[in-house]
Amino acid sequence: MATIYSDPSSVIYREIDNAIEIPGKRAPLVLGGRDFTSVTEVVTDVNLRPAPVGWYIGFGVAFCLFLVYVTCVFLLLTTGVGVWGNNQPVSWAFDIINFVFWVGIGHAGTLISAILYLFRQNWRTSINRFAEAMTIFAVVCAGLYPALHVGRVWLAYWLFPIPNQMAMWPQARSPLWWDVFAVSTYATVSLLFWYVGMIPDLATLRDRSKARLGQVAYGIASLGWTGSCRHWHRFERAYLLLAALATPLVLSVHSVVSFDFATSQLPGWHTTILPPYFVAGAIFGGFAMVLVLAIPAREWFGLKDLITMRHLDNMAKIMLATGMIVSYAYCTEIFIAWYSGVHYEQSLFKFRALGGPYAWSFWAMMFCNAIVPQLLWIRKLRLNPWVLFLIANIANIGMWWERFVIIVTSLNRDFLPGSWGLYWPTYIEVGMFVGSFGLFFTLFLLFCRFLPIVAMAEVKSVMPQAHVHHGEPHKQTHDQRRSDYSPDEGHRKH
Amino acid sequence: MNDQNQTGRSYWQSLNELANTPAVRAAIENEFASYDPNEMLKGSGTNQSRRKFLQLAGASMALAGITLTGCRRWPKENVVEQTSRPQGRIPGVPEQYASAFELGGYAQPLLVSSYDGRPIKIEGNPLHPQVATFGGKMGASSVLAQASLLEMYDPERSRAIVHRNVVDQGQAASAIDFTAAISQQTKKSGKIAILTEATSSPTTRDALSRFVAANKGAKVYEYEAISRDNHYVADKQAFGQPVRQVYDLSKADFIVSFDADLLGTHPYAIRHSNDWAQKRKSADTTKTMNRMYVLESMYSTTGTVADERFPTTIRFIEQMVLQLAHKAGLESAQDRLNSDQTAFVEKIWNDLAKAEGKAIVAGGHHLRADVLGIINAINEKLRSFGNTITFRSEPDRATHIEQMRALVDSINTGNVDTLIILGGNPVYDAPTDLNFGGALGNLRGRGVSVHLSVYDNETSAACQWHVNRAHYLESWGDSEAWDGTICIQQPLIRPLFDGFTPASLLSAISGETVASVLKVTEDAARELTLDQAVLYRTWAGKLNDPFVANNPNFRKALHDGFVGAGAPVTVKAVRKPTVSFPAAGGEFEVRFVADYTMYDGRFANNGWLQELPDPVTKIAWDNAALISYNDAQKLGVTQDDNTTDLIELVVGGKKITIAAYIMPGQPSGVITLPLGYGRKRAGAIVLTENPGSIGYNIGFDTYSIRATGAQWVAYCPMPVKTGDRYSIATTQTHHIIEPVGMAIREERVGEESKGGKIVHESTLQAFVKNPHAPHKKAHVLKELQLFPSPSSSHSKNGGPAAFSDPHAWGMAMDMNACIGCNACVVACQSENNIPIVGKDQVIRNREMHWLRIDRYFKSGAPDYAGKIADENPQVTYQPITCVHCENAPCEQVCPVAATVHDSEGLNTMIYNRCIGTRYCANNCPYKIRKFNYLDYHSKHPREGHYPWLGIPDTQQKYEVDKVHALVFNPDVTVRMRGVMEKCTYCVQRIKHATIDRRNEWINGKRDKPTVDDFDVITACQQACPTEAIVFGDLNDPDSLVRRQHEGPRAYQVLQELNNRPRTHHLAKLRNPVDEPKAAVKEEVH
Repeated sequence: MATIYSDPSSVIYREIDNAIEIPGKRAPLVLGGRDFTSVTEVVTDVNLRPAPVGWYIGFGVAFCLFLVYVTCVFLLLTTGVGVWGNNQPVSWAFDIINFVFWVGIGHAGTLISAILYLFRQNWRTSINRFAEAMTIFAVVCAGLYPALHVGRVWLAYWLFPIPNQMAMWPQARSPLWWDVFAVSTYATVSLLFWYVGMIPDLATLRDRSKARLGQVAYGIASLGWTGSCRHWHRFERAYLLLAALATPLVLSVHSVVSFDFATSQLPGWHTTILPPYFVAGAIFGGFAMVLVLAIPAREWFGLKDLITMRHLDNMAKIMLATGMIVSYAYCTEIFIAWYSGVHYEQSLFKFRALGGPYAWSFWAMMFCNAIVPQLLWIRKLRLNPWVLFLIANIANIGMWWERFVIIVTSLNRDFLPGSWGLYWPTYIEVGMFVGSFGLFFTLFLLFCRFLPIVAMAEVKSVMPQAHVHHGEPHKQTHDQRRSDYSPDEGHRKH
Repeated sequence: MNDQNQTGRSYWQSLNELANTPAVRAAIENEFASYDPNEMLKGSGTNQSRRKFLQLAGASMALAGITLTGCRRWPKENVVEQTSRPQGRIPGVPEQYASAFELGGYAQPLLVSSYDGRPIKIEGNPLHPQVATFGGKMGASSVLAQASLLEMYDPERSRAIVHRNVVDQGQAASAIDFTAAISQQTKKSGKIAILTEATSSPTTRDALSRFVAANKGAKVYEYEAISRDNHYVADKQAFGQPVRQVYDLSKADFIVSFDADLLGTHPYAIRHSNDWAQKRKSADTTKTMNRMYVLESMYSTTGTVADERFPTTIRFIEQMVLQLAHKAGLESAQDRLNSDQTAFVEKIWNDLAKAEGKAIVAGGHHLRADVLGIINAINEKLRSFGNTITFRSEPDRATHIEQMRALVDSINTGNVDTLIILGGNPVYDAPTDLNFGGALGNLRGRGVSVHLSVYDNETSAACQWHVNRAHYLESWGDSEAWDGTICIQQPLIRPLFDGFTPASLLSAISGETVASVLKVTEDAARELTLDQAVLYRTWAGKLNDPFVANNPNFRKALHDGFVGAGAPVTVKAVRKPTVSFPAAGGEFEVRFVADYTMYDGRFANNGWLQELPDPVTKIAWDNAALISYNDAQKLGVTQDDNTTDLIELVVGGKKITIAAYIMPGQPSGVITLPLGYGRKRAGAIVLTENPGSIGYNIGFDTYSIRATGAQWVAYCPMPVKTGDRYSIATTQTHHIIEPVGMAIREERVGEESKGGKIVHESTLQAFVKNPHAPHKKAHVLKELQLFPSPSSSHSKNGGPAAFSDPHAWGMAMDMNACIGCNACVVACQSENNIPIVGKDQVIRNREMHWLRIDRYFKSGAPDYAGKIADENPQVTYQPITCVHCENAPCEQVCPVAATVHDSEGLNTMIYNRCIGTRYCANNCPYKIRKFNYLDYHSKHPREGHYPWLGIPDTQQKYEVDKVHALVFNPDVTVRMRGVMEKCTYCVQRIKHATIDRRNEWINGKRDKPTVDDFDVITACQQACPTEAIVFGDLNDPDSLVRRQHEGPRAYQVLQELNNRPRTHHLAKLRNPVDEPKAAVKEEVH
């Protein structure tokens, strides 16, 4: 793949709708008649050309929000957790809601990169890079919450098994401690996976960069990549191994996060369905977030040929599927509460759904996660980026409400009615939540500006040109079917 | 250096320097040429200045950031040893002294613990029969007495004598200047008046009579806002001499209370409660219980534990008294009563008729004197006098209202030119129509007024002189308890800010000194203080021994804290008054009532009491007009979890705007107004005139509509809703919640539980038939375990001794005896250094009390509408504190092992290991773990908490007020922010006892290394007047707690979770007249 072979005759110049399924045919994943060079150009232009004004505006807004975050954290650290609205009985609120929310978002990236890679889902190549970036930044946002939410932040390092003069170790039965490992492992592997996958593209940027700083920086980051066969061989092996490593983590991290709740004995938390339910919810929310990021990005950065309607369509289908798993879990929880005969569980769901003080949040969750995604059954809506963007946003909001429902409605009324109490947030925790989006988008916009947002090398590998054999430009290959894909003809047949 | 005239040798480095030109001199002055700290201040405009500023600012920020958390500041401690150890004093071991606390003229006997010279805990005196519990093993104490400790260390307490020649302009004055000025005034004045709060102190009375004798024309007046004058008048009229009645509830099988709060605000409430509780606990042994009828116009703590309760207006209560008298053959029938009311009286009489000599009929102190006279006649008919009721004599006096009126009249007519007010706060609490403040204003132009008070309060500000009063814990005194014993008030510490007692003030004004009072030499006098000398003089007279300090009787009184009462007074036959009922003055009855925590308002600056929820309403940091649900519907008043409507009341032409609070159990037509709030000057550091004290403007001043003619009961037209909302803090969710919540709560608490039954209760009749009756429909744990439990319940199973070595600590809480009085809550707060958090934090459900008393209402009505409108729901109290689960859910989830089990079954909390993830609190099914969301100890509860900047990990020593810090119990860690805390079963007391007992065993003084019953007494157990809390060793088969755990009423709250709590609750039994159903067959599943 190091040598670029371009045969203009194999390129389809027609505008085609690659979202149509034609039995026996493979839809092309790159449109617009792009060849290897133009793919490289369209991606590297984002990094090497001067940034558009829109980027500065976006970055400015995101950075201001980030400063809001910093301010709120400053107040939190200097004053105490009391600046939030958490109380007894609701000792966890926005802190853990947002932790779970961000960890959930951080799911899709590795799922796309690792699992879809192992399953040879070639369409992943266009979106995996920034989905992975999204993962890492979301995990950054998530990981800060548990560290900041403890009462004595300066001692949060006691959560780590560091040998110390007190001869004290963390308490291994606590799911919070499992969380420390799950999240830190996930963050580490995701970061490695992201970086390793980026090395060939960083080398491309090094080679194309005209600024001295860029050449040096990208040069260092690309670790001396020359594109030799040996490099490619090592790279592919490493990538495969990391994908295999990351795959179980996709399932484990959110399962472990769900143990925080599932292993407690609080009604509404103490259920065995939580791990699969959390994983499905995370994939649902993660794909929604990828869509929220991809739809504007392909528009603004001119990546419509790489992130095609087919990509959006695929992601919408995954959302539909995982959304239905989540809805099924909601129903199962209610059924099991009734079936178990446990009074505390039953009353919890009565509060959640029928008449508790937060019943509206349950219905907000149901509307966003169970009802709205059903629109994705309709192909026309799936292929409308505007509708898709809206539905993805609603799904994200719904996933936030899901965590609110799980945490706040379970805590605010549990066993003894004498301890029941309400919770409402303060400006500071709302500010921290809004500010965490500032942190996320600050990092994401920096990523868009300075790192290759599409995995060029991988995209090229799934283009028809990559499969044209040397010296035999016209011979039928196993991938020839891709160039036969002709949805217009398909339409004509009907 | 540039001094031309300098002598001696000079050195130079260059010729220029030697020449000393102006340029060189300028250069020398500007030593650091490249850095000019004034540069940034020199106007703006130059780029360099701005840059430098930013550089410096950036560098400072960076350095501050690096060192912010890096430097931990450890407290600086100065250890100053005593050069010689006082006899009998072991450093670090607390000492206990008997003392007394006078409230409303009656003593409460106390035992005060002192730690290194600081009194840190107040308990009841176990030797004193009025408060002894567990057969004299310990002494109970009231909420107010315990909390008065905090007053002693209140930084906002008055610290000096203040002279206010001009209103609002105070100047500190010395005691010498003050006494000189006042002595001069009293010598030349022939028109002296002394206004004192009610006092039974022999010393104060002696000092007053000496003062009156020495100053011709001096008159003494007495006024108390919470007065029992109606009883006084009724008894004097009935028996021909001034007496008070002492009830003996231990002999009473039937108690009828006509709106009398016998177990709550009564001065003898602790004895009442204990005697009443003994007659409840007898259900376990003799299968009998007393029966208490309460007819009342509000929900009092007494009403909450009544077997038969009848809520109605005071007018009807008074008529029902007469109806009962009619049944007793003393009066004619009352035709204005409805059938329910006559039926209830009929029910009472059916019991009383067969209970001669074994019943008590009591009336509330707000009932009219003539109605109380009828109650006396009923009691005589029932032969209560001499059997269940005895008498103690009272001094002969006019009523407080009459005295106050006479005083105001004589001030206003110019018959007083020197007014000495000893204690009290009449400007705040005197009847509003007398306008005492105005009278003081009249006096200001032509005379002198002096106010002696612990706080520089409303009255102090209106007087020329404010004299700071020594707190009772730091001065000598005495007073009479309700049962006739005289208690000695013994100081535990030298006064923090000096100050006088009433007696020593009068003595000082008369120009007396210690030497002249005791007729001793100046040298001998140096050892004593004036208040002590005055006390000695009085007791020298009483004991007829001039050397009273060495008198064995006095020394015994000092040790025991009291001298015994003589024989009770015998009375002549009752003279029965005639009663007629005038027409009602308005649509609604307004009832004034002493607040359970503020009393008459004197405790307004006491944070413990402000934050203590009212036992029945659960309101903290406020008072409110209590109205029934049905009246609220009429007025359109609504309330949600934190806010309620303001209403406007007009009483006797005076208007008040007050928050309305819908109170279940409140009869329609009565509006209850607690007194003691709305203080305008509750506590302030003298001379700073800082009004932002703890008690400043908390709640609503209901004295503003309380007039002479309507001290307890007034009438008003229908109140009006103002339309404004008011936020109100309660520690428990309001009664009125949505139907779903109500139904679920009913299922858990009510009799017909569908599952998860939390409150077990039954009736005596059902319990006698079947001891398991309280547990019917409750889940019982099936001991199906995959693995054997690490804690097979103590040694009775013969299993491993996990959590039981050598002791197995356990507690029993008897819901049948609990009257919800909160004494345990304050005791715990005082013992364990629990902070107060302030109203805004209580609204956020962040109160820190380790022990809470859940109060549940129970209504028999079939539907939601009926339940909320029910004016007579039953109440169950359930005290909840950490139950020390053997299988503790909190321990399993703590990531840093900050909460772990010890070998004796304590679920311990290691504060310095806790990082504050709060997971333990989430997993605690009892939700009794409390978290320090902010650094509450170092924060004034009236200041806003947001934003509140402070460096993390600061040491309490630097942050907490120096005076306030003296109140801390040194045996208990003072927790900082970010730390979880909870009940420890008073582990510090456990360790004191177990170490001592073990040492005795090692030294051969004891036959076993373990403790006996009452060796370890938890703070809550000690304070409880009804012995509802029992603590001890479950390994000991004879221990009280073990026997209670094995008794038929014991159960584990949330047993079905298999947490194995070490605290068991004992089911509640009621003793109603009619058993609603035949005993239900056993339905334990």
